[in-house]
Amino acid sequence: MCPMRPANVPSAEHSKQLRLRNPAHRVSPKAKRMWLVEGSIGWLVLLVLEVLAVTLDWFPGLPTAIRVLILAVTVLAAAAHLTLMPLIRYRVHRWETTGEAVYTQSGWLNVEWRIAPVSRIQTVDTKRDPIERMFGLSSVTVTTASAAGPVRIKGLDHEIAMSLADELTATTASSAGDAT
Amino acid sequence: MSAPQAAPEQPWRRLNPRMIVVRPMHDGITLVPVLFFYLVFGEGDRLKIILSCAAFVLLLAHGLAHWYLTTYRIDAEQVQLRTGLVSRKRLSVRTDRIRTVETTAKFGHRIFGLEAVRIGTGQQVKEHEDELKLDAITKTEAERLRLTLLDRGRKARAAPELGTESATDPTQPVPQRAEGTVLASIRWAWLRYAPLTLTGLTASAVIIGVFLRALNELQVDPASVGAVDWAVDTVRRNSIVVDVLLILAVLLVIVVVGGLIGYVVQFSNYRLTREPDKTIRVRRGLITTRSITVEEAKLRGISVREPALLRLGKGARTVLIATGMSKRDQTPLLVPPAPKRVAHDVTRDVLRTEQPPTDAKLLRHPPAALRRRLVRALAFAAVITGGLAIAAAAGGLPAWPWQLALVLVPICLWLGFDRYRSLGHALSGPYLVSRSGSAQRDTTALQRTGVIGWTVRQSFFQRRSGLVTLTATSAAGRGAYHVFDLDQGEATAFAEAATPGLLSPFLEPGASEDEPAELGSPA
Repeated sequence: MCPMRPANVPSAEHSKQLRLRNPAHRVSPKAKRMWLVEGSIGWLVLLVLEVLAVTLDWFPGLPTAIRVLILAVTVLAAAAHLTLMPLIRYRVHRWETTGEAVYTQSGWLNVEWRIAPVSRIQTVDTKRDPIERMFGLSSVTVTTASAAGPVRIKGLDHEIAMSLADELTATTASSAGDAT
Repeated sequence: MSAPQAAPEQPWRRLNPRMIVVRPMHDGITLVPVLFFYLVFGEGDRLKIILSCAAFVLLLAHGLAHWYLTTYRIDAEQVQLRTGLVSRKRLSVRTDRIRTVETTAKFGHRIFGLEAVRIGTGQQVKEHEDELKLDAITKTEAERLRLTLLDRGRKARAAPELGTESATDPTQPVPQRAEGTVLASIRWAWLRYAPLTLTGLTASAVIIGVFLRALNELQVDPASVGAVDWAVDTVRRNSIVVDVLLILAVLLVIVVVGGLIGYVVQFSNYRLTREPDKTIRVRRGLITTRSITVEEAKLRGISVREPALLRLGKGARTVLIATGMSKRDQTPLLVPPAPKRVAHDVTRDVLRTEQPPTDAKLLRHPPAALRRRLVRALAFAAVITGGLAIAAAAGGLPAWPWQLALVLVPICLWLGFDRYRSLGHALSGPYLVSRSGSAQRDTTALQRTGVIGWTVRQSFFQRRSGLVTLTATSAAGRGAYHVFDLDQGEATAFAEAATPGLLSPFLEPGASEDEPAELGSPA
């Protein structure tokens, strides 16, 4: 027991000087195309439904102008999303490992930074879903004992993913304890 | 079938044979009233009688088969359980992984002097229920397991008075039951919080549901029941004002009486002790008795919860955060609804701190956090009111609904303000403390060494006001504990102070290199 006073918290002025930096490594540039394909799927489904609705006349009362408008808005929104999202994601998605911790940064509109100490890692997996496979990419999933969900690095070149997983498995194995 | 394997000195054992009777009792308890009605009021409908008898026989057969097919074995290395009627399961837990031992005795168990024992490990139990539960063995055997299993888990510390070697010998008497230090026990004055828990409301809803279903089973029109008929009639005869008052009065009685009954049933015999073998033990229950024993070394913190009504009465309930809890009950109850003072005192005693960390002085969050809450509150009120107003303008609704909805504006604003007032965080000795919520205000003290990772999230809107949400991940309790809407610089400083050295390699000085800001440009 070493009771510390709350005064232990660094003062606000001091704290403002430090912030999380970008992790060292970007993911593969091919990830941009992967996100493009992933993002397109949802939009395609929506567009097909809309075209079907128009051609099969599901909503008979709807004026033509509104139909055109809905279609146009969908196409524009999809175009904006699909051009911006992969580019921004590529700038955001980064990762880094040290002997002590795994550090990732991901997202585009909402950004998330995660730090998992190597000593608390339970499993390290590599995974490739069909879209990742199309581009020769893999993702590395690092789980800890927390129910809060694993740390995932998506869009890595397959070789990099494999060596990262090997490296993490090796460092994890050498640290003692049951990671809780 | 249960041929003993490698270690012949510990044979596979069956659960207590009394379970042949107890299991059907528990499985069938909900069926009993229906069966009874079928038999008595079935008026000789042969199909119904045959079905009821078949159900009864099936229950008994299931109980017998379950008892016959379930075996367990406990030796120095592990606890093993083989069970399953159709698909066989074989569960094993290494003794050095055992973190908690939980015993439950339902009504049937108690009649026959039995207890069910659940053995919790540090592993997160996945969705399927693969937890090791011995349901059930005699009370004495359960008590012996409770004492010895946890003790073996701490194999480093020898505790000779608990006699590990005699542990699984059923002929031995229970190891000496040195009573622990009582940290808290039920005070009947706490009953004043019972009506503030709303258990009465939920319980009576369930009772009414069961009642209606029973009527439906028996094909009785609810309106033909005398009491219901009389009630409907009374309501019809009175004026609206009287009716509203009447309904409110009935609700009040339900909440008060139901709450009191619920409190007594759940928390009678409540006793929180620190056992001599360095465990914390909570016992409670009037009809179903529960006991949960947690190794102190696996304690990761405490959460003080104040649902709106309890908070009004300056009360709170307190839950435990520890690793190795079951998925169903991740945060077991430590103190029932009681005065907040008691909650904090117990927190201090259980965590062995000088001051209760849950009562620490908290740091306020930046004004931007208040702005976010007020904007959200107003947006909610605006959407509701606006929607009703549009509907009124289109002629679908009269004007009064949206005019009435205007009341939401001050209410929501107050809620937003209150939500801001609840926000706070601090470090208190070895604990990090975070508070949030209005409808339910939670103050959580999490052991800093129990933090197994950090997540910093910044939504699009948070970025504009320089806020982030900091999440400490943990193997215990809910697994993630949030500090909402902190200043971004303060968040990293707080996390770094809580777990020194973990973040520092990833920090850089200065606000000039502004990584999130560069994201704004492409838009």
